Amino acid sequence: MNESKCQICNTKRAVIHRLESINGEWVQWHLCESCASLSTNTPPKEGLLKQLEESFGTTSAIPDPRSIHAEEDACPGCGMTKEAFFEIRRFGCARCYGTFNEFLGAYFERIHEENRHMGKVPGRPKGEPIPPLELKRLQERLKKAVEEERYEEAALFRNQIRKLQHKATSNEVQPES
Amino acid sequence: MEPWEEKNTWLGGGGEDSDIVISTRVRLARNIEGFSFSTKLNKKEAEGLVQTCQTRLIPLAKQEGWEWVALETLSPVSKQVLVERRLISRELKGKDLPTAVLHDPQATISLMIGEEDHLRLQVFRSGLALREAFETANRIDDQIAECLPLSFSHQYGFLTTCPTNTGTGMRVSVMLHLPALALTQKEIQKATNSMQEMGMTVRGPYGEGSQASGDLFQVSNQRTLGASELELIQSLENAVGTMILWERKLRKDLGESPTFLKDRVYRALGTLRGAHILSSSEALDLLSMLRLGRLFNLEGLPSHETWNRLFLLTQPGHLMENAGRELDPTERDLARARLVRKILSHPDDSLGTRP
Repeated sequence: MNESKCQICNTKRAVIHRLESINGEWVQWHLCESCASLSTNTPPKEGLLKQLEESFGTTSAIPDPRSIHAEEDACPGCGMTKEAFFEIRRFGCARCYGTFNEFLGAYFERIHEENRHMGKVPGRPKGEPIPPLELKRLQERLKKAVEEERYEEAALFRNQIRKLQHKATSNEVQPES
Repeated sequence: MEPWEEKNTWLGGGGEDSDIVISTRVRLARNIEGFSFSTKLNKKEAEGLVQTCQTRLIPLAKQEGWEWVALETLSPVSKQVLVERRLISRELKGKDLPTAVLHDPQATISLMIGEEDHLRLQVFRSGLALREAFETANRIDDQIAECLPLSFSHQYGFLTTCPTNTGTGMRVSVMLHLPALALTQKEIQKATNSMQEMGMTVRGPYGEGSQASGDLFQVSNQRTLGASELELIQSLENAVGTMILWERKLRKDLGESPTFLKDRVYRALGTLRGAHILSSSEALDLLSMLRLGRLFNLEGLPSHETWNRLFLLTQPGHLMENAGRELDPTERDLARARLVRKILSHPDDSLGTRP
């Protein structure tokens, strides 16, 4: 898990660190400035939970930080977690190979005795590109968030979609924020 | 065209070492960028996948003369027939999501859509023809890569759903007929162990989970990553070469006991001619003896083509297709025995084939 990234958007650097009690359980929050402030322009002064409650209207709409942790570890393409991968021993999408790269080298060595491809390399396809899986997944989540009137989350998804689309159209490598 | 009619189908009986190697198969597993793998694929995505493949592969299918078959339009019996002709896998047959298969009229090339991986290309040849089958598969794979963006990384190669297929995504296999080796449990066990030591998997004639019957064994490569396609083919050729020599040696020994051999072969023929109840595995075991007898040029045995018809038409899907309805296992055993008696009493007419 990368502690330096915001737990909500998983893109910007976490600059606000807070300890919050949720139902008697202490949870550490690491958020970027914009996610911490959400729709309010003032930085959080009171309890973060209260702040979030005000922004979302209800507590049930607040993402459980533990699920955010799980989400952070999970594959951004399909949501596959490391635990689920080891249970079914199948990948959920092509992005999983990047997500689980940390242990894949050793894992492949156990299965194939090698961990580098030595076979053929495919040519590039002609015709229209197919939109990446992550983009489709974010679009679905955006749609769902809008339908369920979770506008703050929707805004985050929209920003991430824009970022991805921008990445796809520009040849420049995006610097990490 | 029926699979037993043409020399160039996988059951044709031609090709190198065809006294032992029934057929060769090369299978390539590929996924398409922008879609979840089968583990995470929902109905909507599966529809999109099938549609994208259909739209983008139509020019290639036309050029190659392939037929597009959407599996949801087929009855369970028709799907079983495709399994028995090896055009689709049992896994594809069992899928609840939209799936399809593209195949050539000779049933030597099939491209499954929506299997464990988005695309599973299979090329079959009769006899031992690994390089030739790979050349065809490789050419088609290149053409597919021009139509669809395939999931690939320079580090791990072709990205597949199951890590045991990652890299080349290639499984090469040969179906071996080993009646002499299978005569004794000890010999066949020794042979199976030695194949595993050489990095090969030994399975039944219909792949994963299928039981060995009719003395038919499928040998395939275990690893797919860290070696080139041709290196993997070379390893399988070496392993299969060992099996061929082993089986031939035992057949030679068998030839030195002609009475024993004749007894086995003609008992099998007698049972097939007289049986009124015949299970699938018993039929395959008896047919195996007939094939062995032909290889020793024993007289009065059905021709190669008749053998192929018996082999394929006695399988459950083909029996039900012939009957025009679903049959339970008991009905199938009766129908199988009836069909075998009919074909063996009129081996050269087309009795027993579909109406």
